[in-house]
Amino acid sequence: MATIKIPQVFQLYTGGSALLTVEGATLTAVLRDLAQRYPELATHLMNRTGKLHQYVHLFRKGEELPRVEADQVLISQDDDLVLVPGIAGG
Amino acid sequence: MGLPPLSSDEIARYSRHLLLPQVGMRGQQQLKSASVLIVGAGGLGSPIAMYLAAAGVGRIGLVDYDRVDVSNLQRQVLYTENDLQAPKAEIAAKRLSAANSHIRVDGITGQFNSSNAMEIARGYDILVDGTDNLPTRYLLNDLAVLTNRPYVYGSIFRFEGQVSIFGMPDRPCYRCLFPEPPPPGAIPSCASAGVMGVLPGIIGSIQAAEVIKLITGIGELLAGRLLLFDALEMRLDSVRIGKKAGCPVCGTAPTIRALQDYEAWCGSRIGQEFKLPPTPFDISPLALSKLLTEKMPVVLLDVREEFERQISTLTGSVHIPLPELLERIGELPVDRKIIAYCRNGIRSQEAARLLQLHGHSDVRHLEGGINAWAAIVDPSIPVY
Repeated sequence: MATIKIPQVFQLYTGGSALLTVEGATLTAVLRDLAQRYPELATHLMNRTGKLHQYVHLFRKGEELPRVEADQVLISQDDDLVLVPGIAGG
Repeated sequence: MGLPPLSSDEIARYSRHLLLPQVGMRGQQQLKSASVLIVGAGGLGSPIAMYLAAAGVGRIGLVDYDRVDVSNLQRQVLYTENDLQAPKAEIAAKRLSAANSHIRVDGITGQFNSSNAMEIARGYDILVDGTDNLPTRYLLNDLAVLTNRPYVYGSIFRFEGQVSIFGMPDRPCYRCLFPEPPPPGAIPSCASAGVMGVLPGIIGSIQAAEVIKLITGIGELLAGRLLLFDALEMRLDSVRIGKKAGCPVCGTAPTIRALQDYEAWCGSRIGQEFKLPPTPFDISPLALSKLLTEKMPVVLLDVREEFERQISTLTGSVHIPLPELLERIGELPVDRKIIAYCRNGIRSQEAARLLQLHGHSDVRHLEGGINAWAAIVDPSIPVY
């Protein structure tokens, strides 16, 4: 299963977990799986149609995953994804 | 115009820079002729300002509206116990001038907003982010793009930080990365969520390094990359970020040609902790105190995390952290009034909403949280 590194700001909705494992062969499937396992987290990451909000990004190997046609974005079992939100502190 | 010469004192002072072939005499002269505006003289602003002053940046401007609070001293290393309640920008300017008499430091006490940003920033080469809020970040970004200046971005949360450079030609800006701000309250501030004291020291120092590289023209800049730092895992990663052709400020057909109302854009007020609008669930500390004095049968529900209960707690409260509330909702009686509380009344309002949604008809939450209770009802409880 692929993993998603969860930033501190969203760990409130994962019971404190910093690394989640997700199932799915495409980005759409992975996001759907994430939403089923962590519905509270999903409301902060995605809109009602399952698309990521503009203030969060998913990266893989240092490159952003496309936002459009997420069902065409293939995810491998050994992919390590990184979730990056906007943060505000200083 | 030629670069300013260095005096013998300056040559002695900056010798470790002069010894670096990448910096040398020319680089040090470039630093001397440079001007940098740092917006925010707090956790990030402290190390940024101290290192740039020590490095010999010829003119440093420092803007902050705030005064030194005792809770700042855990990370804002510009200040001491002698500075409590004094204006930060004034104290910081004195400290930097004392650290380096060869440079000019302007301390500007006041808000940095769209009506004065152009004027305050006039004459500075580089804008540096030391702020603690989103509206000022969008303001700095737009100002940088509209006036063709680099914006050295830094931001922190708990144990994590981000750094990048926006506003460079052909490189993305902050709006390319974050076209929309999160809804108000969705991203907590350090004031409400905490921050490791050394974190702004690390992130601010990286920002200062990028400023020095920008001025001297050396190395690979973070423009087009976002640096991600995690102090818990002690990991430093960078990801590539792209320029968006449709960006409203730096894209091919920009629609933003002047500074905006950034507080309205982000739905939050600078310098004020986020507050949810009033709801029928609210109960004031005084009203709750009256209920308890009258020995009304209520369930006090603490929805904070375990570590927060070690700081303060209301006697007799039941503890269910907000993330566990729905799965443990069966532990709460349905025939008793439930009064939820948290630190400042944000999580408890969400708890009240969830409880009502799931069959609890008599639910309230403590306005302003346990900190308001401490301020109004019981001063023996510590405020955090």
